[in-house]
Amino acid sequence: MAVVWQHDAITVREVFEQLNAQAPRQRAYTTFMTVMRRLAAKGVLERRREGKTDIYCAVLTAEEYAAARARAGVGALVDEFGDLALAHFAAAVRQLAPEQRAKLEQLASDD
Amino acid sequence: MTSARSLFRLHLLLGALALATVAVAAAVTLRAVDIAPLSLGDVAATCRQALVPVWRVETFATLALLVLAALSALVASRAARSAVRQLVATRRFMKTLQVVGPVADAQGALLIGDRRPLAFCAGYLRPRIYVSSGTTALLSGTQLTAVLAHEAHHAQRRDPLRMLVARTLAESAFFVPVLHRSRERYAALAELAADDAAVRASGRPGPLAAALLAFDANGGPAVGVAPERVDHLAGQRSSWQVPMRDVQSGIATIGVLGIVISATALASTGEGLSVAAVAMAGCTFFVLAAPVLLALASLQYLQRHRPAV
Repeated sequence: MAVVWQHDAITVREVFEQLNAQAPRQRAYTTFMTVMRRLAAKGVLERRREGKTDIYCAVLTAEEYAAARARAGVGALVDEFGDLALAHFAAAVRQLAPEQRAKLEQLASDD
Repeated sequence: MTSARSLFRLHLLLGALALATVAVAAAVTLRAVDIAPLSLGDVAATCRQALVPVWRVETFATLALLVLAALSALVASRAARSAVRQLVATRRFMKTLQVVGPVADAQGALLIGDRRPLAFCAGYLRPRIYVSSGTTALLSGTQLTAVLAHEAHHAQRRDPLRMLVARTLAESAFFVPVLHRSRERYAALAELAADDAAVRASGRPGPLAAALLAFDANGGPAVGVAPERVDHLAGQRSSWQVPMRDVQSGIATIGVLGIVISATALASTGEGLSVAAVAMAGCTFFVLAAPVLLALASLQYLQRHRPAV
């Protein structure tokens, strides 16, 4: 993604050459192709065809991407938890709003 | 207020009705299958006939049988995938935990060595309560008692099994979308009922409220307290009503499916699903649908290969 953000638009070959030049481990061209296709399918990259090559550009800025990843992390956890056929004691996504917490504190003062 | 029990019963009935109808569809389809082999010449002759499509009732019936067969297969595969996914995910999760021993002074509850605050009930036929060492460190004696009473209620109701069944029904009978809402609502109501049990066990809402606060503050992502539980604890009663319109349209969908199945069963007295009938139906369908499919395919091709701006 860092490489994609440095350019307005980029091809798989350019990403392949740049990342392999910096990386300790060389990866196959098809690896980059698959990953970038998947990112396009997820809406992170936009894919355009020019003749026989695909050109990719970033859909989100770096900040938007970071925020989306944070949300996805929680979402993935919730999905994981969601699949579990268990009964948790406290299984909700958001923390309590301040008014709800205050209500709860009032009830808890009677502990 | 809808009680948890009656909602679960509604969910179960609606889901079972949907699946039973699909089972009848499968039976009708299977009964019509006729695997007498056909020579290639016969198939070619059938297709030639289909080039000048003559819509007969039998052709419609065969098409309907094929659609019903596809639906049955789809529902069955969704049911299997849903159940397997949940069972595997639960088992995988349980394997990551280390049971350290029983929880002191709590019959049947098991202690898990984990610093995260975890407290849950797991197991389908004989559910057990699991509490982490992080929880016992976090809560006081009365608070822990409240949590254990909450989980004990889930265990007594066999809620893990109910969740499994409810979710499998909702995901397999996809054509009755209200089942997703009734499942989610049941899960929420089950929590409220368990909270009520905890309050009864403690004699007052304080210990449970304190335990909920502790979990809310220390739980991390995916651990939290639904706001409705706070309101319920404070004495407010929820105003959720069963979405009768959606339930009715679900029943109507099932009804329409039933009518289609009956009509198909009645109409397919002849060849049913023989190779000839399927070939005829397939050919007839393609002759008429081919122009439309071609147009759609062209549109998609043009969209994917549009010239760069």
